[in-house]
Amino acid sequence: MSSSSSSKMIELRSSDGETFHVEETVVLQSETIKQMIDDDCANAAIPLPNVTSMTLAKVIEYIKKHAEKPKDDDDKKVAEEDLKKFDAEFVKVDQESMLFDLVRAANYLNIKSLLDLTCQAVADSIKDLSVEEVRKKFNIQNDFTPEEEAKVRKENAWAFD
Amino acid sequence: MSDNIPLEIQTEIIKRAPDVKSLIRFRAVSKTWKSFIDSSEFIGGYRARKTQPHTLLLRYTNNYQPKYVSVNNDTFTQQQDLAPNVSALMKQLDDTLVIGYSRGLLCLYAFDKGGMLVLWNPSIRRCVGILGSGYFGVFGFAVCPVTNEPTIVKISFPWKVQLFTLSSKKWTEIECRRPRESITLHERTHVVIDSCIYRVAYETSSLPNGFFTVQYMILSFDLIAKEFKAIDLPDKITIPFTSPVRFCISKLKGSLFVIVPHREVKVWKMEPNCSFTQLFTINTPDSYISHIVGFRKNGELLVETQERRGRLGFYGEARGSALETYDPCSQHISNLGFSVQNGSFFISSYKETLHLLDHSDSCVYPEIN
Repeated sequence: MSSSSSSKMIELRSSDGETFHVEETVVLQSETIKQMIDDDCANAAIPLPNVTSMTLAKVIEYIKKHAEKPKDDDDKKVAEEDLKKFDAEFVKVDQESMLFDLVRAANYLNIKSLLDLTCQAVADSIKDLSVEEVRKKFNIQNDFTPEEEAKVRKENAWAFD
Repeated sequence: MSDNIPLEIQTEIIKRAPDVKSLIRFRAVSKTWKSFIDSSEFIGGYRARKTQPHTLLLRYTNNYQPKYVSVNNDTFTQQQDLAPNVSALMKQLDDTLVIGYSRGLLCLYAFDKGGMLVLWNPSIRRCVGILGSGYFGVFGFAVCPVTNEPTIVKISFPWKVQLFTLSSKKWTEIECRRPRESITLHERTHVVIDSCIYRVAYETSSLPNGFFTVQYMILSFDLIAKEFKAIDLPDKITIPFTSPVRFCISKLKGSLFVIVPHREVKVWKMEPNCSFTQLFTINTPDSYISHIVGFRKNGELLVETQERRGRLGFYGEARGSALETYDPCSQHISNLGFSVQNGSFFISSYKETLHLLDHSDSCVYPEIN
């Protein structure tokens, strides 16, 4: 698969026991895994107990795409555009739970650009939601008393139109 | 539907809310969300993502009523009338002068309120009044890019510099010398770039024959270093003594511009080393252009022009003005369709921010000495 013979392959194991082989240079985008490799803990398969195989496959698709190096400056511009398109498509997931799973995985694996991308996608998707819908989506208990909540709403009634 | 999402991820998502309206609504989600959004750190640091298309805040006076609208920078079509966002205190003000606009906050000087200053954030419909500015003085306003602190600078004569910050809610005199004793300030809108407030200043010197000369310059005040700096204009920029009123400064893409109407209108750009290069000349009689309003993002210059048709300039009648846009490439001036009172246009890049969210609407801060 890879033309580069110098790149070492790293084995990742998802929470449901599936293993993935990824080039070390690609997987270094994860600060968490980078730390494990630096600490010499990556000789056997790296267990990722918080990430399912479905999510991990998506994450690997993302970091592989983001590891591609443009050949020259002209190529760089094209590549940047291409990457933007890829990112926009990447967060268009069928199930919303997948987006949250990706946010959690990006956070756990500490991949900053993926965390940015997925958090922004969630922020955009909730911007027109009502307070109740946001609570439901994030599984948040309403800890205001009815009087307190009414006061918060009244302070800026225009925002609740 | 989803398992619990760690608080650190929730806050990462809140930080990326694309507009202030959703953030204001999200304060009602839970106590944790409210205290995160209400924290002074979040209020000061929040920037709405850059919107497409780019929006301008436009202020003008029509029938003696100030109007505030947001307009699309590209097409110049009105997007939103900001009048419903005006809060109780603003409604009481008739006669105001714009001091400046910085990071979502408009600073106004109210002539009819004993020189009260008003800070207004149209995007969250909130304003506060600040007393103790007095009738005399020259003001500057900017939100410091480092501390995120809205700050008003007051300079009065004999030379005295006072700062008002929203967190301290009071005026504090600071020890701050002017570069040269003979420098006087021009009372006009200033330009804010990064942490510096730029303003037109001048220096007069007497000649032995009893006459005197006026030398124009730009005086900058750095909010971080709390320091004034005089930027002398080179000899090649001739400012005619006859029309100094309309000599002005403006900004585009982080650079300062000096615009000098003198027979035609010359536009100079200030380079980082404080030298000046002439950018273009508007080959239109300067009597036609009454004010330079500012730049559009595409580099076109917005100018206020004397209305040609109608019976204008009649004694006692307010003169009419139009807003026109000048394209330096085609040298074409076109009317943008605003017909208003003379000298009332103010324009700035419109930003949604949360400044003033931690202050009650329409409250007035008293002078504390």
